[in-house]
Amino acid sequence: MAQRYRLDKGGRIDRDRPVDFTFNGRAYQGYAGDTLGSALLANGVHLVGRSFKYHRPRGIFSAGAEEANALVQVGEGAATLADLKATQVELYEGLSARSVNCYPSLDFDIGEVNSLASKLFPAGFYYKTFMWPQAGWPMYERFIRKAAGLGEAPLEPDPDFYDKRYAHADVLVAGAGPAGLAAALAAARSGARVILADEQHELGGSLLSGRDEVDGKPGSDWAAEAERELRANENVRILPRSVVFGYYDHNWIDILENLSDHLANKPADAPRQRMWKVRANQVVLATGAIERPLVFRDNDRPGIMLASAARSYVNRWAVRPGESAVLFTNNDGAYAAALDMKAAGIKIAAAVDLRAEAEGELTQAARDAGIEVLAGHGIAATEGHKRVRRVKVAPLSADGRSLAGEARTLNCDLVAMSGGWNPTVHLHSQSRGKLRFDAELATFVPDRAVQAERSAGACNGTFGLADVLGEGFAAGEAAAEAAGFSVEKAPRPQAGNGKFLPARWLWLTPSSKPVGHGGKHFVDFQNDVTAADLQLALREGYTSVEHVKRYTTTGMGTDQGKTSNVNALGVVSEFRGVPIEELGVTTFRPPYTPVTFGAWGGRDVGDLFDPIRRTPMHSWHARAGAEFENVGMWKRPWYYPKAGEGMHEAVQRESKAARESLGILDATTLGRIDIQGPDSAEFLNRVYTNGWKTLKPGAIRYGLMLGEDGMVMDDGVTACLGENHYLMHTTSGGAAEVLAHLEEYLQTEWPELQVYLTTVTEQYATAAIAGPNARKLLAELTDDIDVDPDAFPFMSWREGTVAGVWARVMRISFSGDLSFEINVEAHNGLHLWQTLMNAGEKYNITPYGTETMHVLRAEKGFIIVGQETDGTVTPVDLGMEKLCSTKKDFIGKRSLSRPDMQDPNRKQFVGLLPDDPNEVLEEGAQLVETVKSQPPMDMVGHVTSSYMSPNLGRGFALALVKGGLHKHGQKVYAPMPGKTIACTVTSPVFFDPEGERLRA
Amino acid sequence: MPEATEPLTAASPLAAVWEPGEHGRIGPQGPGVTFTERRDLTLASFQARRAGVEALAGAASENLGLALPGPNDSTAGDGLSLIWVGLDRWLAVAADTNGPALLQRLGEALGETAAVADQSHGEYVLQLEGPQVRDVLMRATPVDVHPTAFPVGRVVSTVMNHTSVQLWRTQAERYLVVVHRGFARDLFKFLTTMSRDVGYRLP
Repeated sequence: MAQRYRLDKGGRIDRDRPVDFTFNGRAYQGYAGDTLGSALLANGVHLVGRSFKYHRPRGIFSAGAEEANALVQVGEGAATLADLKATQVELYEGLSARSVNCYPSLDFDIGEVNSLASKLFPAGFYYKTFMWPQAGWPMYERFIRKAAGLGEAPLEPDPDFYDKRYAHADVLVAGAGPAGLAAALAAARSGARVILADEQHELGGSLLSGRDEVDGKPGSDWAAEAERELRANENVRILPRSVVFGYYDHNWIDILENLSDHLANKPADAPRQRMWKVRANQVVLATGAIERPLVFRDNDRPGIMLASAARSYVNRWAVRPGESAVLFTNNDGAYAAALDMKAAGIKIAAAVDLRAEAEGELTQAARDAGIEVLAGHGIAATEGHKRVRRVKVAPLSADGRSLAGEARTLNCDLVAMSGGWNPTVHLHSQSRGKLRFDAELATFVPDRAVQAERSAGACNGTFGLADVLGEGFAAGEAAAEAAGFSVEKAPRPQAGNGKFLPARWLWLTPSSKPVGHGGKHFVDFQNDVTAADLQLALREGYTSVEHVKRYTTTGMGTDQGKTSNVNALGVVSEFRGVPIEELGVTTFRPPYTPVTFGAWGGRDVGDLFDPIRRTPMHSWHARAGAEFENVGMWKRPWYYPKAGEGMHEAVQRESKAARESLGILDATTLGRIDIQGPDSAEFLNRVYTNGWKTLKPGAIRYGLMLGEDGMVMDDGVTACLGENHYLMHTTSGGAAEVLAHLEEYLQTEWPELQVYLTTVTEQYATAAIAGPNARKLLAELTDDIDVDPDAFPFMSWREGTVAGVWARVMRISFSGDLSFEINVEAHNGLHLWQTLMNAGEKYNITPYGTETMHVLRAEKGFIIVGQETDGTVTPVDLGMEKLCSTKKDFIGKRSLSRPDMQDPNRKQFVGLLPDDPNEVLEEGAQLVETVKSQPPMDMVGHVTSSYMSPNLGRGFALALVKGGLHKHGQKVYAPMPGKTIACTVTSPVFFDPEGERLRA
Repeated sequence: MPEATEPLTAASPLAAVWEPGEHGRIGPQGPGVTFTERRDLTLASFQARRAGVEALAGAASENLGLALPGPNDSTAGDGLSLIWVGLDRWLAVAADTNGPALLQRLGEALGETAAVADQSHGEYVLQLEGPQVRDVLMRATPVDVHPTAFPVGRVVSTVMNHTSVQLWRTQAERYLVVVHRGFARDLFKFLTTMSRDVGYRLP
C-alpha cells in the first residue's frame, strides 16, 4: 500500500502533489515537501544501505546533515551524485536513487561476509595485515578500495555548470532556526545589510519539527511571519538550501547554495549550485545542535534512530517511523519524542532511561500519559537483522558499568535514542574560536571568539526556546551595533523554556559481556568504529585523541563525526579514567558538509580556466594556422605550418627564409618599462652590468641584469628616448619580476634616486622584420625615416611614419641579420602587420614563430635567459664578462668576486657540434668526457638548446660545460638510451661570427 | 585551430568575438546589462615626482581645474577625469582620441611635478551599463559593489578573471573596467558569461 506509514493529517508536506520516485529500482510515492528519507519511511523502507566496513544493514538514523548511514547515489550517468544523505535529498518527480556500498543488491550483499569475520578486521587492520610483501600493496589496495567504499563518481565530464558569487554583509547569520531568525530580524531592523543562510529549503529549523508555541502561536507560524518581514526588507538576502560550510580569516565565509538538485526538470541554462564568497562585518552563528546517539550493543540496526529524528518524522513529515517504539534516553528532553509519537498513534513499548531517578517535566508528562518509564535501565542487546525486532533491557548497577538484574525483552520496530545534545560548534571552531567543555551539558560549547562572531541558541549551549529566541535577538542587536548601526531593542517573544536536562552521562551502556566479546557497540556508524576499536587503540598505545581518531578512523568520512566525536571522547575518557576536558578535542575544518568540486571550480573551467594574453596580431596568426606556445601568460606563435608540414619542416623553411630574404616576427610580448627622471642613467648603471652614462638620445644598448647573487636574471635592450627618458625592454616572461625588482630597489635601497617607472608593455605592438631585404621593405613603407645605414646605424632608433601610422623603429637584431623592430601603437598593430605582409610578398616575406627565433639566435650564440641560464649562471660563465664594467658598481658585482665564482671549472657556455651532422641532441641531455658502460658517469655539463639548422646544414647545440671556455675543440659525449652521441666543443657563435650581416 | 574571422586591420581586441545583438536570458525588462567598447577615450598615467603629491595636486588644480583624487576616488571635469590607481599614481582619462594632445596637455599642466606616460593603447576600457550591472559585477569581483560601499565616482583596483583591472563607477548604473589590452578578449568572454543569467546586449 502506498505510503502506509503516512499519518492522516499534519506535516509540512503537500498532499495534493504526490511525487513518484524509485529507490533501488522499486517505485514509490511521496509528497512534495518530503525528503527522500521521510518518503522512504512513509513507505516503510528502513533498510537503506550497508555499512562501510562490515556491510551491516543500516537504516535512516537521523533527519538531517548528521546522517551517517543513509547514503545514496542519486541519478544516472554523467550527472549522478554520490553519497548524498537521504535525509537531505529533497524529493522530486522521477528521482531515482540507490544504495551505496552493496553488491549485488541491498538485500543480499556479498560483503556482509566481512561482518561474520569481523574479528579479523580490528582497528588498524590495514596497517597490520598488508605489510608484507610490500610490493603486494597495489593489489591489496585495489580489493580493499572495492570492498570498503561509498558511492561511485561518474567517469564522464560533469554536464552541469556552477556559479560563484561574491557578497558583503554587515551581519551574516548562519542558520535560520529560532535563534537565527531572531538575530536576522534584530539586525535587519537596524538597517544593516543581512545575509541569512540555511541549509534547508524552509526556514524555521527546530520550530518545524517541534510543537512549541511562540507568542501564543505555533512556532512554525512565527517563523513564517519572521520570514515575511525579512523578505520585505531590501537589505536582507535570504539563502535557503544554502549551507555555510567554511569560516576563514577576516570573516570570509563560504556558502554552498543548491539551485537545481531539487528540481525534476533541471534548467539547462542555469547553474546547478552556487558558491557564495561572503565578507561579513559581523557573523552570528545560529547553527543549532545535533542529538547524540547512545552507545550500546548492536545499536546500528535499521529502525534505531535519534529521538529527535523520530519526532521530526512524526511532526514535520507526518510519518510513523514505526508501529511500536522503545525510547532509550539519558535525559528528560527526549520524552517529547515519546509524547509526540504516542499522540501520532505509535505504541510506546517503554521508555528505557539510564537515569537512576528519571525525573523532569517531560518525563513526568510521559508517565502521566501512561508511558512506562524504566528508570536505571539500559538496552543490553538488540535483535533483528534488516530491522530491529526486539530489545533486551536490564537494570544497571549503581555505577552504570554493569547489568544488575535479569533482562526483559521488549518487542518493537523502532528505537528512539537520545544521548544528549552537541552544539554545532563547527563554524565557531573553524573561525579559530576556542571551545570549552560544559560539564552540565557534557559537551563542548563555544568559548572565546577570535573573529567578529557570536554564537546564539543551541549552538551556544542554550536550549530553552525562550532563552534561544532571546539570545538570538541579543546577538543580532549586538552584531548590528558592532557593525555601526543603532539598534532599538525589541521585546522578546514569549515561549516555553524547557531544557533537555536533567540527564545522566553514561558513555557506554553495558551488555552481558565485556565490550568486544559479543555484539558491537558502535560509536561511529559511518566508519564502523566500535567502542572495542577505541579500546584496542588505547591498548596499543594510541592515547592522544588525535591518534585514536587516525588509528580507528572515528570521526572521519563524509559526516566528519557529527554524531560520533563526543561519544568517542566519552568512551575514551571512561576507558582511560581521564576527564573529557583533559583529553581535548580534534580540530574542526571546513567544509561542514561535503562540497562538490564543480562548485569550487565555479566558472573557472574550460575557456575561462586561465586567461590568455593576446597580441593585437593574434587573430592574423590564428588564421594563418600558427601553432602557439605559452610565454608567460602570452600566446606566441610557435611556428606557422603550411599544408603537409610538421614542426620540423616549418621551422626549417622559416629559418632559411629569414636568413636568405625576409622574415617577420611578432615581438609585441617583450616587457616594456618607461623610465623617467634625472637619475635614470645612474639607475640603469646600477641595475645593469654595463655602463649607461654615455648613451645618447636615439641610441640603444643591450643590458644584462643580475640578481644580488651575481646570477643572470634578465636581459634586453634599452633605448634612450630623450633627456632623462628611457624605454627598457625585458624578456616576455620576466617583465613583472623585473619591474618588481627595480621598484624594490628604488623604494628601499635608493630612495634618493629620482627615477619613475611605468609599465608600458601593452602600449605598443611590434613587428620585427629580419633578413637581407628588411631595409628595402622598410624604405618602401616610410617617407620620413632615412633608412640609409649611415643615417640609421645598428643599435639606434628613429621615429616617423611607417605604413601610414606613427612608429618608432629600432634597428636591433635578435636573429643576427639586418633587422628592424617596428613599434606602433597597439591598436595599429594588425594594420602594420598586414601592410608589411602585403608589401613584403615580393621578398617572400615569411612569418616565423618562437621556434625559428630560437634557431636563428642560437646560430648566433645569443642566450635566452631561462634557457641558457637557470639561476646559477653568471656573465663570466656566459663569456660575457666584457659586459661587466670594472669602473662602477652594479647589483651582483660583489657576488661575482666570491672565490667560487672565479673557479675556472664552473659550467661555462659553449657550442656543440655533433660528429654526425644529422644528429640533433636532446635539450637537457647530460654530457660526459669519459663514457662508461652504465651510469653513474662523471657529468661535465648539459645541453641547453639544440636545433637542426638549415643555414649551417647540420644539427648544433648550445651547452654549459665545466671549464668549457677553454675546451673548444675537445670531445664530449651525450650518453643516450641505445647510443652515445659524440660532439665537439666549439665557440657558441656558429653564424656570421664577425657580425657583418647585422651591421649591414 | 583558426579562430572566428575578424575584419582585416580591425583595431579592437574584441573584433573576433563581438557579435552585436542580445544574448543570454533576456527577461521582460530587456537585457540586464549592455556592453560598450570605450575606444573613444584617451588614457595617460602619471605619478608624483620628487616635488611630492601636494605640488602635483596644486598643479592639477591650477592648470587642469581638477582636484587630485584620493585613494579609490576620481574627479571629473569637462572632458577630462582623473582616477586614482595606486600609491601616488593616477590615470587621466580624456573624452577624445587624441593621445599626443593629452600627453602634451598633462605635460604642460603638471610640468616637473609628474612623470607622464601614454596608456591609450596599452589599456582597454570596457563599459558595463544597465539595471542588472551590479548583479554581474558580484559574480566578477570580490569588491563590495553595494551603492553604500561603491558610490558613483569610486574606483578600485581589483581582480576579474584572474586579471588585475580598474573598476570605476561613472554613473548610477554604469561602470568602466580598465584592463591591459592583451587580456581584454578573455575578460570580455568572462564578463559576458557572467551576464548570461541577466541577459546582455552588444550594440
